[in-house]
Amino acid sequence: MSTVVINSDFTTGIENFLNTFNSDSSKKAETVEETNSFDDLLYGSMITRLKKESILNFYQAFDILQKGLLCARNNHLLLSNQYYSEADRWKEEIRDQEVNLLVESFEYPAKSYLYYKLMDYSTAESMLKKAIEIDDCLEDKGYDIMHFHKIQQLHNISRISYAKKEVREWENIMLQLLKYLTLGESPVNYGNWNVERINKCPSESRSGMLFQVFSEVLVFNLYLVSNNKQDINYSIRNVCSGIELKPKTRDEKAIREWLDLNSLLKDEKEFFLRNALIFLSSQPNKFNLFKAYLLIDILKILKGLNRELFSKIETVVSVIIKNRTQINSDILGRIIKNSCYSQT
Amino acid sequence: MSKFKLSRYLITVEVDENLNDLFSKLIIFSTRTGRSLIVTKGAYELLANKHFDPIPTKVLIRLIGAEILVPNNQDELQTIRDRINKIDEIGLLVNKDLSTSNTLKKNVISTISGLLKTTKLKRINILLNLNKSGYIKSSFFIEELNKIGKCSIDILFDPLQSNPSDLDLIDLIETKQVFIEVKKYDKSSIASYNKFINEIFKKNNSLHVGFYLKTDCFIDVEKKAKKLFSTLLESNNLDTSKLSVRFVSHNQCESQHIAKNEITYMGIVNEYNIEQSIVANQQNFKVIGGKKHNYFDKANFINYDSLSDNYDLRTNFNKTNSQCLNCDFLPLCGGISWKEQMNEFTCPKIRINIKSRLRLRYEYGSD
Repeated sequence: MSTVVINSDFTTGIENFLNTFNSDSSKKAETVEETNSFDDLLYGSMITRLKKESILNFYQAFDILQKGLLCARNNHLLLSNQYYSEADRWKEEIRDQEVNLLVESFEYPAKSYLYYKLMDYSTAESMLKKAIEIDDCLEDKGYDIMHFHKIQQLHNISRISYAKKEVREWENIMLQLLKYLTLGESPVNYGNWNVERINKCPSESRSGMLFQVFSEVLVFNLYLVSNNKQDINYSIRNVCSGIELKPKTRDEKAIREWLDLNSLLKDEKEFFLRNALIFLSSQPNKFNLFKAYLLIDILKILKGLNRELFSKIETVVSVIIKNRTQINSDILGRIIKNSCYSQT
Repeated sequence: MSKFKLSRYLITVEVDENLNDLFSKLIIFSTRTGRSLIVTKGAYELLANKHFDPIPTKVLIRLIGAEILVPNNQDELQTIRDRINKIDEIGLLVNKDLSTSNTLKKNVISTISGLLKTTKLKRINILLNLNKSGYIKSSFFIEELNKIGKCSIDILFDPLQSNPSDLDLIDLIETKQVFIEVKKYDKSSIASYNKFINEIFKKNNSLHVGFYLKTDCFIDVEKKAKKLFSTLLESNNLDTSKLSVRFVSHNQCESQHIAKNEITYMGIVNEYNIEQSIVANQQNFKVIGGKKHNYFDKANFINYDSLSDNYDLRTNFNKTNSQCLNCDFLPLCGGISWKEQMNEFTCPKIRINIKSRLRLRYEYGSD
């Protein structure tokens, strides 16, 4: 293994980053105004097709479903089910078939999540497949943005695979999602896929979805590592290999930079360190998890680092990971230690 | 358009009492969701008369989301009842002196574990008043609760009685917040709070500090509040985003006077840019550094004294008397269940000072 020279600029730079690190990824100042949000685009499609009354009927159902979903996320499953019963009652009032389809497109994923929480994975999965079918119909009616809703459901199916401990299936779906979003290669299962639909929507929609999928790969990968299932870079290598991303947004540029950095790890460590430092200092807090992986790689390379700096990096990595996962401190310590001493 | 109506659970308040035309602003607050929107008086009149056409669709969607507009055929009371019946999480104040008897300590533990086993409750959020039980007894108590699981624990410290070493208890619980009780406002007490807050941040810089303010005996409230916060903030150079305030009251002190003083105090807290929940549930139970306030998450914050092992939210709600059933505040306070648990028979302060609270929120754009 070649010796890596640590220059003082790097040491000063990393110390500056560590000293000013802020774990709060919800800081307002860094939030990019979402002018093309999914909700806005959906509303935009509806307003051209539906009467005011129909739109209100949809939002009454949508709002109750969202409240139910929120309750399920917070583990209030009884209350969640109560909201879904309210939504069912309201649905009976809706006569417009298109509005009904729109409601069902959100109803199935919401209820699927409740079944997911109840660990009835097969019902949860079949509901998502149903949602994908409905999204296909809505796309054909002109709701292009529902294509992203459909991608989201495939993403949800991957989560079920993960929950069922079908890790390779999870990896496979994630890879398909990433290849579809970056290269336009259609996923093999469920629904109709046509990359033109992606191109019809604003770049921010793809960018948001890419960020979401990538972030989840990073989170679930940590869980796999924490269960001793694999080396920290295993899933990342598998899922990210063959991804060609032509960035159109600021977030996509950051993801691209991060992927490029990973490819430098093997042979160009000094170049990696220099550029990793730029990534750490310049990217917003929403990329903290991406930063944690880079910091682990830095620790791996710089085993001879002074004790104080080493433990400072360790602390920041722990804070980031703890904010995003339920991994406890002891296991986290073991992950960092094992990762640092595994083969680069 | 006739499928919707204005909810019966609304509080409306004019932003400026002196203006009285169709273009003057009106805050509409829903006690069903704790959310509010500002519309013109003219728009409100249109809504009340179900003339929805002139109102922009996006505004109507927001009104639906806040449950200010609800389905025409909805039995609102039944809807509230159904939702409250499905609550599976409560907050519990353990305000007992656990050091006096082992039996009592065991009783508290067995009541809590019994509740989790025999009711539909899935989680109990406990606020432990440390000064009632002391460090050793509290650590034992926390360890026992940790064994039961399904309990989140927060600790309320009294800096006038606690030692900095008491803060080691935080290591036994998973929390991002520490509560400190503020009872006195003299120079030496404020110095003690100051010192204790420093110790908290020395221990863990990412913690939040919640001020637990008793509002029962406010005299000279403006002076006291200003003295407290100016001293603390100036001498510590504190980041105010790490602080929040929670107003509590005990016993039979729910008077107009207390409610008014609370508003004065809230106004000062706002001036210092410290987080507080202007519109909160019956106990002003605030999750610090957390999500938006949600009544159903933290409802039914009750006192151990009135907790029995056959505690059931449904039974309590169904006992709610007719006066409460006709009250606009029912979704927020839960009616008699709250009153009985607290052994109080007056309405919560928020019912008295809600309009001032809403105006404050409008003025500071907070909550």
